[in-house]
Amino acid sequence: MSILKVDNLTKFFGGLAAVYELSFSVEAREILGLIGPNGAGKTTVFNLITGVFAPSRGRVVFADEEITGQRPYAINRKGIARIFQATRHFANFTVRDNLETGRHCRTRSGLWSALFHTQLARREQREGEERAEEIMEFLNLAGYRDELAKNIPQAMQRRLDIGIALATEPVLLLLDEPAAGMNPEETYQLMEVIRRIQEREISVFLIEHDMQMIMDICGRIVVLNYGKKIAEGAPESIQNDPRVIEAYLGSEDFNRVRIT
Amino acid sequence: MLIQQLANGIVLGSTYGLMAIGLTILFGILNIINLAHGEIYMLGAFVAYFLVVLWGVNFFFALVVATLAMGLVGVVAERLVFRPLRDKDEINYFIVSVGLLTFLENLGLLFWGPEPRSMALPQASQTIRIGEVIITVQRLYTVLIAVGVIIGLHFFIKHSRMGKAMRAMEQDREAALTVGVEIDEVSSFTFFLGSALAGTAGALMGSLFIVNPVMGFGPLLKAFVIVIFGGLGSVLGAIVGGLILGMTEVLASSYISSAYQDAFAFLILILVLSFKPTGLFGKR
Amino acid sequence: MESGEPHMSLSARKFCIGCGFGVLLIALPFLVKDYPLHLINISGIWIILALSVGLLQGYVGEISMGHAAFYGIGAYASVLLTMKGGLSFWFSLPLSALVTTFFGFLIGLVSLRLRGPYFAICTLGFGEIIRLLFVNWREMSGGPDGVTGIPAPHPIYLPFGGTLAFGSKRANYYLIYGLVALTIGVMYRIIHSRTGKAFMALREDHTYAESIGINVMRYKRLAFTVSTFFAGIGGCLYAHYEHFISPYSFTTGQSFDLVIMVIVGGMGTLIGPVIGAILLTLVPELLHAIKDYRMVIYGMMLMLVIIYLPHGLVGVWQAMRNSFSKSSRV
Repeated sequence: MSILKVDNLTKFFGGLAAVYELSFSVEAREILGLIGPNGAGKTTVFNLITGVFAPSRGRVVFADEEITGQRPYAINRKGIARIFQATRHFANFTVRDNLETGRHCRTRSGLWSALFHTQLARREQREGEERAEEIMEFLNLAGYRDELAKNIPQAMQRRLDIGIALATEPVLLLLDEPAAGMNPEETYQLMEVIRRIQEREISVFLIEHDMQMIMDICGRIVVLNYGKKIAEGAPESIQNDPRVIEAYLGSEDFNRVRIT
Repeated sequence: MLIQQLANGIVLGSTYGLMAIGLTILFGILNIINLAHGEIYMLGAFVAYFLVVLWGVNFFFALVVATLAMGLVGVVAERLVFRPLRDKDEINYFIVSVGLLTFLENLGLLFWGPEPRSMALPQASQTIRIGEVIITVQRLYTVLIAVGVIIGLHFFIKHSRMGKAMRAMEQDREAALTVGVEIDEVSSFTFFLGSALAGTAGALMGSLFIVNPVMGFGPLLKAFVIVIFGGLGSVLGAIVGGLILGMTEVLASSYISSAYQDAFAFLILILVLSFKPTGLFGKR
Repeated sequence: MESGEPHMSLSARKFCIGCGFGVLLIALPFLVKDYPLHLINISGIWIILALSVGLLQGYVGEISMGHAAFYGIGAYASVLLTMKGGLSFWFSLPLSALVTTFFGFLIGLVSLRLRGPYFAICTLGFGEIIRLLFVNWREMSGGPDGVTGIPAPHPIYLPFGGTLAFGSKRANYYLIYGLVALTIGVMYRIIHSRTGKAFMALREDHTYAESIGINVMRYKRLAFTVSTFFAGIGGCLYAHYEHFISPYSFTTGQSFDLVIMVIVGGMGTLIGPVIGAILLTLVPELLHAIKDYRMVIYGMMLMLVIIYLPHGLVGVWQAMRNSFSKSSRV
């Protein structure tokens, strides 16, 4: 059963097609990989799914509901969360505040509750703190609880990004190059984290350049080149697909993995 | 009658255009929105006024001095006020320029008082006739000078080393740095140029109308309307927008009560901001 | 705990200081003479206005350069309601605040689609348009000559006999600072709530905030609405305290004053606008010699603060505290 369906998705910037007639789906509880040479349009696909841009043509359907062109906050509330290609969060907030803010869309207390410090406000505050603790445990960030996000190590900041996305309680998590800049040790730990996320029944859609990681944890992979899908399938078939090899011709990432 | 009004509109429009060009190059090249631009315009008017009235200097000479003096003021302002904020968020430039505006305008009021003064140039009362249009000599000079300045500016930006550096920085700051463009140099010069243009506009307007310390705010806002309408960073947009605003203002004053004239400009500003924030020719 | 520790715990000491301060605030009208009390009252009104700008600027991150128009609307609305409508001040206070909020909402619909300097310029434009309306729409505002003879807040008749009259500066002190306390209380609550977190998220990174489910436009509008509500309250108080208003009280200059108060005091805090308002109201009055230089000094201060003390005076105080606590740890 697919939770996300992308149908004929097309996006033109000026005269250039960043994404062209792209169709695929993300199945429930799978880890789907999205790979392609630089500039293939991968982040644009994420931006189209999460509502940062509206597509020129095509549809995005999430859990049987059409979400094409809706605003990012509405799409997030429906259950899709993402991290960005560059590390991005609230740098001047503490780790804890970042995670509590992430839970915003799952709470309701508004101005009235704020002014009168209602039970609802207090309950949601407490739940937010508990949830933040839980996520910090899950991601091993508890030690940085009261540190400002900008002061913690880079790899931990990346985990924080994922943690905030998890705080929004998504059904589908979009990860845009989460392992960028990580050493092999950190990458391995990240892979564990992603597997644990999958165990929590959250589907993961993953953009990565680290081929080792992609081949290891993804159940299926979609390959993009110049905005078009050129292959789709299990890691073994992708590795040997001539079109994929041609797209990456000479690329060190791909060849390294193939030899292993 | 209409053509007379259009002629008057062109006179106004040319000084508005000069001022708007100054503002727009600051934004296009340095990403700085300088609200104190109007105060430099005002100071330019005062410099010219004092030279003409107190020392009996020829107006054209006073104009040149005012232009150069304001260019210098711009360089000093850049060095002391804007450059320290270079690595911070761009909104800080905006806020600091509010401080500079407040400082300069009230300094002017303190030194010179709010009474309007007039340069009382003889050329401002001599008229000549061109076809159907009757225009004062000073107004004619204003248009000619503005056109001359714009042409000179065009050649400068196109062919000089500094002009090329400025254009490089406007297009892609990072790339410009890698090929050896010096930010400090370009910043100083851009401020020199922009402020000199404001000074010219101020001296010209001061010669046509009156001079007082609060004369800068209205033209500043109009320059904003022009710059946003014509496109932030676009010199062509500033010129075209300036002419259009000058002419609309003159035409509107016959149909809309003068009290609400300024409101009209603001309304246009708000409409443009709401619907096409990048303006007619702009790219941001 | 070491031997030789202080007699009282730190929190007990803070409580005592707080109580002492509170008693001082309550007794203040009886401790100072008439003119200083007048200045204190005026500062109180400016505190409310500075806080209204400060909420938007310090917590959502948008600078409003036309806020004087809003307290102008509050002032003129209250004048119309009491002098032409015959209403008691106590009804016109909340009503004029609501009128201001209504216009704030409308202006917000247009302006809040813009960000940063564009938002600021748009609000400046609206501020000027409204000022021109104040000057030219004589039937509503009395024109450039303004309105005189604005009544003081109407007396309240107590159930057990006696009246609370508001003719005196002392009575107005309690009214004004009562509302100051209300304003601070409300803003404190908002800031320390889910709503406040959303505001600060907007200030930090509004695109990212949207990606984690925060409806950016909605919260911007909410902040703008709350801000204009308190501006309306400030305007109403101003009218009935000064007994005279004119369009010259509500110019872009005053809007800039508020921005300067918030920045000099310290953006992003509640105490910053309070300090800024008190400082920029009291100091020039107390130093008669520099009265004429007031605006020149404000301009200079704004430039210096932005360049050298970006967190304002509150930032300076915090920095000093940090260095003291560091040295005591050694």
